[in-house]
Amino acid sequence: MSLLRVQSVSKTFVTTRALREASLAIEEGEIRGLVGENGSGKSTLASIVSGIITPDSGQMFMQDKPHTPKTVLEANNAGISIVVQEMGTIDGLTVAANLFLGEERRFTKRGLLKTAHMNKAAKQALRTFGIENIEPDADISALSFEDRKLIEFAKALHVGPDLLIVDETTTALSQRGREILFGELQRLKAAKKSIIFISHDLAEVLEHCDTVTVMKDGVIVDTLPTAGLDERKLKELMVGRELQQTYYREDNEASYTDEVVLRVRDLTLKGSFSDISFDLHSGEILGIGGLTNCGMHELGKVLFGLHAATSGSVEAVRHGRKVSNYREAIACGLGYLPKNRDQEGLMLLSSIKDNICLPSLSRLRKNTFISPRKERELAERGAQQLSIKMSSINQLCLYLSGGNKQKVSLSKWLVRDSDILILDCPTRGIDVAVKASIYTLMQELKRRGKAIVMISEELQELIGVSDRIMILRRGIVENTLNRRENLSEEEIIHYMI
Amino acid sequence: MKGIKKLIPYIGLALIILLFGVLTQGKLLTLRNLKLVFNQAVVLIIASTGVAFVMAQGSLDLSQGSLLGITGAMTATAAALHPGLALPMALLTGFAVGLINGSLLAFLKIPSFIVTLCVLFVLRGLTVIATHAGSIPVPMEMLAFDSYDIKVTLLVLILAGAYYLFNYTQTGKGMRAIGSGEVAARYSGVPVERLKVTAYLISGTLCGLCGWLNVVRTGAADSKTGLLLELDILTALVLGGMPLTGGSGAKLQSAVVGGLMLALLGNGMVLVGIMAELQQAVKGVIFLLAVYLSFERESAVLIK
Amino acid sequence: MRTKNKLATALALILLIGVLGANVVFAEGGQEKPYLFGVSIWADSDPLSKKVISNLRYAADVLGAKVEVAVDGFKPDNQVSNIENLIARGCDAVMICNCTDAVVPKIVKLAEEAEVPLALYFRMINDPEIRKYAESAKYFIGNVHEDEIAVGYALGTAIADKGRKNAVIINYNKGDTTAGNRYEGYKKAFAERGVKLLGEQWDILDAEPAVNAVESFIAAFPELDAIAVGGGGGGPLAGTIRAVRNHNKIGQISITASDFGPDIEDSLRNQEVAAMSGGHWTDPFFTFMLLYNYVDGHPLSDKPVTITMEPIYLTSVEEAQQYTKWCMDQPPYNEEEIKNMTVRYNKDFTLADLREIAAAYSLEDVMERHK
Repeated sequence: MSLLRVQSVSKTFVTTRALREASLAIEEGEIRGLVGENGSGKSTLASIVSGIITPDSGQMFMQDKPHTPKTVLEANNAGISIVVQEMGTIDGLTVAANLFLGEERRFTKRGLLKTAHMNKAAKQALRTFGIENIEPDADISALSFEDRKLIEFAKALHVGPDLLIVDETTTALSQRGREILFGELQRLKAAKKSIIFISHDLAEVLEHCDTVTVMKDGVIVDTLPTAGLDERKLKELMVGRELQQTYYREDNEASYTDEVVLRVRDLTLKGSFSDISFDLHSGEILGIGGLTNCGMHELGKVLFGLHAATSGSVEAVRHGRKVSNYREAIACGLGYLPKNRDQEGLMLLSSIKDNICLPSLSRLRKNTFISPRKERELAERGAQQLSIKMSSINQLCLYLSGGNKQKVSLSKWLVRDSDILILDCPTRGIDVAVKASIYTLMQELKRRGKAIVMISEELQELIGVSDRIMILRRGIVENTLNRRENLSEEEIIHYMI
Repeated sequence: MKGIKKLIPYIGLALIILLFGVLTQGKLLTLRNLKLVFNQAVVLIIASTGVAFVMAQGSLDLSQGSLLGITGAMTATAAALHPGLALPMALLTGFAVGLINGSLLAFLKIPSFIVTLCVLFVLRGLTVIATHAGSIPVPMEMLAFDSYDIKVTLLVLILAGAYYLFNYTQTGKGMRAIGSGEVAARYSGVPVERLKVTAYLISGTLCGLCGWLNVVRTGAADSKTGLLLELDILTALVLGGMPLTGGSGAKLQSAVVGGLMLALLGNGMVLVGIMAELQQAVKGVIFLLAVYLSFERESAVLIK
Repeated sequence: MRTKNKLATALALILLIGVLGANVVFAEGGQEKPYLFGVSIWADSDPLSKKVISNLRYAADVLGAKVEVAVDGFKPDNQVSNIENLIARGCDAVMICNCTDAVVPKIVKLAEEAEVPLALYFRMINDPEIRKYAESAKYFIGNVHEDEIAVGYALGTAIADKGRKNAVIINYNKGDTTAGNRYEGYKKAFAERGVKLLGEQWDILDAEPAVNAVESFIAAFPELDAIAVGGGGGGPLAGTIRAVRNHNKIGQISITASDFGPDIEDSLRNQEVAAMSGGHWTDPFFTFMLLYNYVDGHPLSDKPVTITMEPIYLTSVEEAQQYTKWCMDQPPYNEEEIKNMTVRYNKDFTLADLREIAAAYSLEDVMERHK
């Protein structure tokens, strides 16, 4: 008897068919990997099983009983819980309140919520889960991305699910977080519970899952045991063709011109980083690495003038100007790709066209007039350049897959012909195919003499793409490594920690 | 599905025209009555046009009713000195209040709902004081400005200018971008604070103009002038299809379509002879219906 | 987008056809229809406005005419809109209780443009410039109002008649014509009869401020034995009575006020008030008669007319009972009397007759005619 059976489930969003006739079965005690490119239907399937959305057609059975959850709570009662891809915590509530959201009645006596009681239970839940550093009465918005993800995980677990779905969570986690997570997954497996594990990190999937289901364009391609499977084979299944090349660059030496385009001197943001100085050259890809809270993300924002630095300077050398706010930064040819794509990178409720054109409006206008035709042309050009999959440039970004959203976010700066790009985690949460195209694009930009600052949490990526890697530790430049053949992850980790 | 939603306001307008056209046996559509509807809608449409810029950013302007009151009082006071001072005073008052609204919102980061609601109360108080809880008359010769020619010309100029600004300039596009996603807009170089203030300057100044129009129409500034206008404006815009969240779905046409709808509805109900209290209730129900039909539930999740 | 354009075109067509059709249809018309009288009023649910409306409807019924009521909340913009709307509805004449002189020119202008006769009720025009403008207009028929100075004087006299010597006045805001005139009347009566005016308080529009003001007066002047409520038989009077009762001074302090309501009998019985004026809801009736005769083709005058009315004064329970019986439970002017106020049914009727009837209005007058 299978724990969960999904039979011919389909779902259509507006115009996109997100899921077509998907069927699968999960056994007790099984860890099932679910992989596929962005937009292949993984999250849709997970959402349907966990009651976030309802399918258009098809049937589901949980322990042979019909499973038709209309809400997450109903799915919880049927023994299914989920950790979602996007942020699932609610700002303004405490850790404990988030943890027990929807279960307040457990801690309510005569209509009064016993906060102390709830905090105590929350503390216990967190500690059994191996989280030592978070207090239950802390405001959740004060926590790091990773900690918030872990709390979501704890929330999903304490329901005591028979089936746990983990949707793209590990990208947000550090080594410590991953260890906690996989430890828990093994414990669940030992207790004959099942897991659906969705991830772009194929190595991780192969290492921790028993079986893996591959999806492509809303269809389930195949389900295979992980034993005897390698990444290359998996990628081919996902992309549906044989991969021709490795996607990192092939040269082994740093190569850039002598022309300095961005001069950073003694840059300090109190509480985040201090005394950072470097020169960014035309044709250079400067990688910045470190632990997620080492200050590198804040550095990106200060470089782009979104936060005012406490002291120090950023100079756009070609313009001979100091950059002190984002308007000046853009005027000096800087572009910025934020880490938080959905909130900071894109206006989801606007069209692809509006998003792409926004930074370039000042260039499109003639006196005050902005011609709709020119806007259209610019957006078409940008979308074509990055081969964005869309029905038209008037499509809302909301309905795009993660990879395509990232392309739109990048396209804004490409059509503006920005000289200096600051990319914060440019491949976070996107699939291999788009990843590869972004790396190719970066090489292309490098050849054309653009300068790129790439802030990344992925060591492979830093090594594979950068001319130089600047490693930050607790807000201080620990070392700067030049590109060379035998640069290893261990060496970088050594400076990070 | 999405296409139909965009059409709802137009269908609504057609329905109202048809319904009351039939109920009044065509009286609604006589030229004389349409002129009347125009006369009563013109202030609503101009004021809504201004507020459309604010709502495009996902903010609200609830200060309009009292702003109409205080501009009326200031205008009448200025007109007593010299009738030529009336219009500049009206525009100046509207501009100043817009500046205050916008600055409080943009720089002190107080939510627009709170800011403009407080300003609403403050201005109403000032209006009552300025009018000594009664009325201030204006020189009779100013009634001459209350002509169709002037109003039609003003309306056409304002709508043309606003349409251009809203759809074809960096300012208008930036404002809608703020509504679609303030952070993303800022990260793309939109001068968020400046545009927020600008939107309130537009809405304030246009409301100031409405204050002047209102005074030359009635011949008096009264302590109660403009009471509840802000809700009429909000209703008109939402009826016209303006999303409460602003953003790329915001259309300037909402002001015109919604303003006409509300005016025709009010006029139609008077012609049919529906009780005043019931008219309010009907407006409320229709407002609710409009929000229900046009609200984007899917995207509501994304709106903070 | 294309659908929208089609729809817009369809809409424009519907509108165009509608406009053309409607204008053709309404250019004709022609058959005999009852006269329609438009009334803009501050509200339609308080005792005074309810009585005004029902009394007008009764008179219109008698004459085979119809009354259309529009509520304006005493807001100038609404008053202008109401007149516009009433004219658009095809009213043959409109009447209004204007909230301020300032709104009169515009309303007169609307009437002139539409060639619809207009008259005011409860109001006189104080501003000389505006009065001159209105009275030079062809379609301004006139106004009916109470002599508020006389009201104040009569009530002030009633205070003196009770032997009271030390009075205060509380009133609406300064600048309100009605309140100001009553104040003048009170002062005149007090001066003539030797009643000392200890103090006065303005801006009292509601019960709460009235309580506060009266309590202060009682505390400051132990000798206080009369309170004149210049403005309003509603909130201010209720507040005054409450304050006096709180100090156990009912009966010791005489209260006078204007615009009595349905509970006047109880108030007099409990000695809460010493005298009150009211019953002036017949005022709009005379405005209506002026307009009716004009619309019917027999204008009573070729110049604007001002009619001054006397209110009814009540000083005892018996009077109040009589008032209820003769003025409230049955119309003050019966079918025959109403018809006789029109030239249509009474060829010899003149403006002087109408003035005389209005001036004679009092409790005794109604009783005498209907006994």
